[in-house]
Amino acid sequence: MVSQEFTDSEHGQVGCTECHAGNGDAQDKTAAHKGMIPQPSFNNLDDACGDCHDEIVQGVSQSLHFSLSTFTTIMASRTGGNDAHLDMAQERHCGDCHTSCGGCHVSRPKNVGGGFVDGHNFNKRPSILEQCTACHGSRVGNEYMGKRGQGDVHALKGNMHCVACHTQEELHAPAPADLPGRYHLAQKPECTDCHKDLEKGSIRDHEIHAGKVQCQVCHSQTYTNCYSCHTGMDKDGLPYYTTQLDKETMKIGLNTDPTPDADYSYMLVRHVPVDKELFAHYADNALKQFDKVPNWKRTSPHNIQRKTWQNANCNHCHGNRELFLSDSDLLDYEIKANQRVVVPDNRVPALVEQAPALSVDTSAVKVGRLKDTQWLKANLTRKDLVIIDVRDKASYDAGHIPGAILLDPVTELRWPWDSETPQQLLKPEVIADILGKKGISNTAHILVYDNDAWRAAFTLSVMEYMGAQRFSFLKDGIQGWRLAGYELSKTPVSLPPTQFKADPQPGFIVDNEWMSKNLDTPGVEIVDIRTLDQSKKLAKHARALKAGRIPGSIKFPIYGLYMDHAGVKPAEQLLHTLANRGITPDKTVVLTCNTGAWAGAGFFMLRYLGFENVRMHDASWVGWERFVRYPECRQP
Amino acid sequence: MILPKQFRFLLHGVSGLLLSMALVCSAGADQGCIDCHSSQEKLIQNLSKEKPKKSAMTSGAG
Repeated sequence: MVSQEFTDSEHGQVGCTECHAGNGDAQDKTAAHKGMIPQPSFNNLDDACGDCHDEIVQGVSQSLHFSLSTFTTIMASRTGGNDAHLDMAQERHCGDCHTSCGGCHVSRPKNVGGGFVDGHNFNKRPSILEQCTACHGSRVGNEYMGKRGQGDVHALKGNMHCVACHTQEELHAPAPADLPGRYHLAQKPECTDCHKDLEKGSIRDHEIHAGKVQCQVCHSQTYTNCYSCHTGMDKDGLPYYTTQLDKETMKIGLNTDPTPDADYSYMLVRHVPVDKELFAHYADNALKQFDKVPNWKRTSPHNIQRKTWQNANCNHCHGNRELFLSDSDLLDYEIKANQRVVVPDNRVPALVEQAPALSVDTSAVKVGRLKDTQWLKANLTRKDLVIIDVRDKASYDAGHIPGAILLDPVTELRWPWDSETPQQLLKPEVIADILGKKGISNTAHILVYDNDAWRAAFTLSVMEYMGAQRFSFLKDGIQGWRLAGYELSKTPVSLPPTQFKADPQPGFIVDNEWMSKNLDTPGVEIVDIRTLDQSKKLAKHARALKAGRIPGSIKFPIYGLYMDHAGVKPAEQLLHTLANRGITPDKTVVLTCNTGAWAGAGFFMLRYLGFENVRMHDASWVGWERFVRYPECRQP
Repeated sequence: MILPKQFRFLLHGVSGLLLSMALVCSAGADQGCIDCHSSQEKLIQNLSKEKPKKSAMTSGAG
């Protein structure tokens, strides 16, 4: 809705029809909207915005956001250009992803839902959540906010908005028609815009690597890589695209596209989803020049950390063939396209003999709590093994691991939202009864899987709380099982009821009273395991009264502990990462989130890593803020 | 031609006045737009029944 604040503003005084046309005198919608321009900054740019902002508009109309010129250039390199079918395909499937003044300063871009961000007010600075990362979400937004990995230090410590680096000079800049790629835009940001003269500083590795290695090689976390995008029209005539796989990983490639300020030898590369059959629906052999452009491309992940696994030790990169792109990382049809990016064996930097290995104590890791798909395949028919699928029912019905039963831990093991203790765990005897009726006993080996880790890990935290004796998390989850080529079943499974003899461990769970007494207790670390948008108070849980976090808590998003599709990094990496944030096994670590589920998922991982004193804050933020605000009706 | 300073101020004043008049006129003329687009009730009444559709086959990280 248009707000009063807008109508009173300078832009509001311009008058609607000045920008949107239509008929402002009409009394009914049809007449009023005749000739109307819904998105004037696209279709009436010069008159709507250019009347007052002429200089900016001249640049914007040729900017990368408006024109997508480098995208078009690269696609033309692959298609050979001049094909009407492909123009239609690009228009249908790719053309939506551009924006103009309104998409950054007034409303959400149409392709991500549209609607005003702030009552039609014109905001000089775009909304990071509603505008910037509404479009740049999957890669940039998720990585920056800790929805994949532990987030970016510029968000965590710097509170930096996108425009802190991506200034208006860049975003409004006209892109030359022959610009070969977005990294060639002269106004693009550089790390060295702020971090000047690094090679002259006190860090020896900067001096050694400056100019040879892209900054992100040493300072990024793993990132997502998408594969095999296909487009087409569905049975209702609607255009669709679908990617067949995404994997979280990290690869170093050779820099095949140096620019004057980025002429280093090694760079991080990301697999972009373009497939040789991308436009097969529209034309045979549409990407006939597919081999001209690599689809492992330079990337600048937005998940920077000062301390990473790569820069913890020379030999985490040197001599680590696995980290460098090789032919074995390529699909058959893309080998030729990526030959220039692949790092040959003789260009993988040699081991540094005098660098001692990093010492991380992994002796307390409970290795049996993590099982891989090969183990499960070999043990599938064991009588004492109970396999639990904790995805939603539709996913279970579409195909599950043979023999797996279905359990929804979020709705079956916790109080409902309309209870006095919403979303907190049910009483142990009730949980035991539910588990027993499903055929789960406390002496069985319980293996839980899902597709994104936290539901399985939360379920396992409940199992440990309840006193289960043997329980494991399936590393790589259902995607790992599927990619290994193992069979899936669509037959629902129910096991004969049994008894789950509960041996609850109440010390694993803390309530609000305990939290309020221990906010400043030495040796107690409260870890807020939510994503940074929530722990930084930019967004809130739907059930929370307002955004916020528990005072003094450390921000460490859960996705720093689990990778996409239930992947898990080696224990030594995880322990090193946690230690960098002050989370060490010698402390009492209390995990908190919004409703306790992610806290449980974090609890499982820390227990697996050998932490002895770990606690789950069951009530978490939704319960805590009511506890703090309404002390007269405190619930634990 | 370079105009005397006082004359330039006068021109600015006149153009500013004309612009203000134009803005006031056009804002007044658009009261119908504001009436609908600032009222949730009226907006809901007039919402198009044809919602933009997205294919259910669309998938992927995007």
